[in-house]
Amino acid sequence: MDFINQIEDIKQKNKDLQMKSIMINGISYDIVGFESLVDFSATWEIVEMLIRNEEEKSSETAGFHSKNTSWKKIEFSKQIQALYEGKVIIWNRTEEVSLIVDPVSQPLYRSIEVPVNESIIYGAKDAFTENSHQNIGLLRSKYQSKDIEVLTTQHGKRNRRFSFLILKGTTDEKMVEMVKKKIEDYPNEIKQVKDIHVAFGFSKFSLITRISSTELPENAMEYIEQGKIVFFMDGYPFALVLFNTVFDVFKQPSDSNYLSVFVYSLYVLRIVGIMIAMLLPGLYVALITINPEMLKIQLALSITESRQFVPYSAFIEIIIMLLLIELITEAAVRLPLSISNTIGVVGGIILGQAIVEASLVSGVLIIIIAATTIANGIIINFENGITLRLMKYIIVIFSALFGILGHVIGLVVLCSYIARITSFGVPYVRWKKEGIQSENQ
Amino acid sequence: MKHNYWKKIIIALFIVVFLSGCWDSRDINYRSMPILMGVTKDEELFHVYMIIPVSVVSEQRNLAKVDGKGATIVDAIEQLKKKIETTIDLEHIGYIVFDEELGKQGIEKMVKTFMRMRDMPSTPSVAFVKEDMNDYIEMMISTFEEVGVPIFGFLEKQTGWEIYNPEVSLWEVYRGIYSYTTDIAIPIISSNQDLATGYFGAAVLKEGKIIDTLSSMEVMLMNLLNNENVIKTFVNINDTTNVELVDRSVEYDYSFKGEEIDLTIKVEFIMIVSEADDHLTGEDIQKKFEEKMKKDMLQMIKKLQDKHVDVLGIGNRMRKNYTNAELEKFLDEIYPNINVDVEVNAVIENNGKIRNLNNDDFEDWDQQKQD
Repeated sequence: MDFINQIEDIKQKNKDLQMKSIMINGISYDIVGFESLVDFSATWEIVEMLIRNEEEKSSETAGFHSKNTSWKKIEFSKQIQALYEGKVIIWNRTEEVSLIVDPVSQPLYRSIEVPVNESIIYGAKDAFTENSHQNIGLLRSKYQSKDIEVLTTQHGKRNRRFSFLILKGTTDEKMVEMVKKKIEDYPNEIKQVKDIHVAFGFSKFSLITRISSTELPENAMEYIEQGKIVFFMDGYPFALVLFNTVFDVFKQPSDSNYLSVFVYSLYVLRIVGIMIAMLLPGLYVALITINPEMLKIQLALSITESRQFVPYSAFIEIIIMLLLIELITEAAVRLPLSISNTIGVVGGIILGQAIVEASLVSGVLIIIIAATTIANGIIINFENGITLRLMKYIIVIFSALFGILGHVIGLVVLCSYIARITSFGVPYVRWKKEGIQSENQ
Repeated sequence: MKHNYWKKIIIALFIVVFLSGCWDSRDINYRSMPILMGVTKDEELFHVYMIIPVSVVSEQRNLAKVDGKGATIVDAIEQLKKKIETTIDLEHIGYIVFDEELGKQGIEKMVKTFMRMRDMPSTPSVAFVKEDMNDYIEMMISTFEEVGVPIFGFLEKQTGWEIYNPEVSLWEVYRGIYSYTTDIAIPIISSNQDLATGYFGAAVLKEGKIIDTLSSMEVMLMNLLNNENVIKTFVNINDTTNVELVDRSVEYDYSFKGEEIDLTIKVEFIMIVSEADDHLTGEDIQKKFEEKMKKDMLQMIKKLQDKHVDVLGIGNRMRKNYTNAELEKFLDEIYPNINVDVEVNAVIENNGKIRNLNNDDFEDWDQQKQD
């Protein structure tokens, strides 16, 4: 009765562990499982049927049994582990063998829903969920071929599952093996995406997102076909895409559902948007503070007019406004949806109007800030948008120091920074669309 | 190792911040940006005027006059700067006007000073003023306040410029003064009660001194022979006939025959008849226009050759044939002896919206009628 004792012991500590006994044909069975993970009322039937089947089968030919569902002596620790994974154990008291069964589990995962973070107009409207099995299923339904293979590994005390998708012939399998090994070898717990960055050996202070997340199975499939490595972390409702490249800032797969001419003008628009989002605040500081001679006289005069009673220098002024906008953005994310609209109105309209009337900042700056904030939203992925949000401060600082010259220096610094970024030998700035090759190989 | 790396970055950042001197720069609202500078001489002292736009929120934009006197130009500007609370930023100066009297004495030194000054752009338009500088500035300001039009557009190509006046910027004046082979003509203007600016043709400079003036017609010919734009240019042929020039091309052909230099200027015009006598056919108009152009151009070139000034830049086109020593005397020795001939070709593109009945041949029509 060693097993029963130990179960009793665990039950003392975990009130949701259930142990139920059943007598069939004079043999008593114990059914053990976590109430919080297993739907017992639905599982009961399966269990009963299984035991009866087993009784009959054992008198008939042995051969139908699949390996997993056969009665055998299993190590106690393995059984406990199975319990925590949401399985049910059927214990035969007399023979002291057990059977591990996949039960009907509690509805712990949400169903497939419309994407929330990446809104698209034309394109598939399903989104990944927290359950990586479901996510893989979504991808398999999009690529119904034997070429898709799934590689799984588990890591850490949490026993977190990582599933890698491999498209035969396209995905670099050596690299997938290497990435998998990096995750397996990581000594600490992988809690968030940041830990994956650390496990892969990327710098924590990188301005560029190396591993991007996408919510759309359509995008993920496209990335797999481009040769990127797509993998799922259980509990994270996004596909993680290794090798985020500079192209992904301008392009997303669902663009191609539009008219081609429109798509190309869309790319141009996005490039212009990136330019505005990155350069405009810096340009303002440079032109107002250090190089006003570059403005046309009419523009110079109207800016002078709007700055008439502003007490701060342009740098302080723009930092105040940028900070305010960041606060509004972050507050709108944190707050419930119904209240975040109010934040938009209060922050954007009322504060913007009042701050100009109070002469704390100039009216021209409000236009600049508005243009910057709007342009920042045009970038494909929110993560890439964060990069731009950070980069513009560098340009603003350089512009405040050296004017237009500093503006250009800031741009050069950023360009050289971006140009030197590689992940596993694959450069961030790469113009080839298909196939990922490491430069080290 | 890693510690060292961060140390270096922090030190570099400190150096960048503390050596940049960015605290010395002033924001745009602490700078005054004069748009016009007037220079005159007052009993051996330079007298510099500036027009500065003054803008106050929700009020009309106004202009303010400031002036300063000093022994030199820079001294005068310094005196002027002392009077104003904000920094004076000369970068936005768009126009420089000199007193005409100053022009007769020579503006060489002043132009040189302006070119030397680092905070002064080399692009402002330059003109001479015929009247008293103070009156001129006052009048410009009052005109602006009454009418609100952009002042000095007259000198600027994008606003009020016409082919009858030369558009000259400071660096061109500097080039005109110091180049061996080219000279410059600067417009002479005055203020006026109305919207108009008084315009008295162009002063031809030789080594910084006014030696002659060109009438507005002559200036037009000069602009046509130089590569100026001709859109919407009307030319009077006689009292009743007028053509509009649409396009033109100029070619300078020169050949050397020993000491003699033959220069043929081939000018081609495309034009529209805008006003004509009833009895003139297209061919008549064309012929009259060609003759008139040729006569006027030859007359003007002769006048310039006599004065030893080369505002057309004829010398520029043949300077590759001479050594530097020869070029030094080019304007005085070689240039006056060039045999200049002008060939004018004109094509009438159309007759405006109506047909020129004189051009039509009515024979066929008459025959049909008889049949």
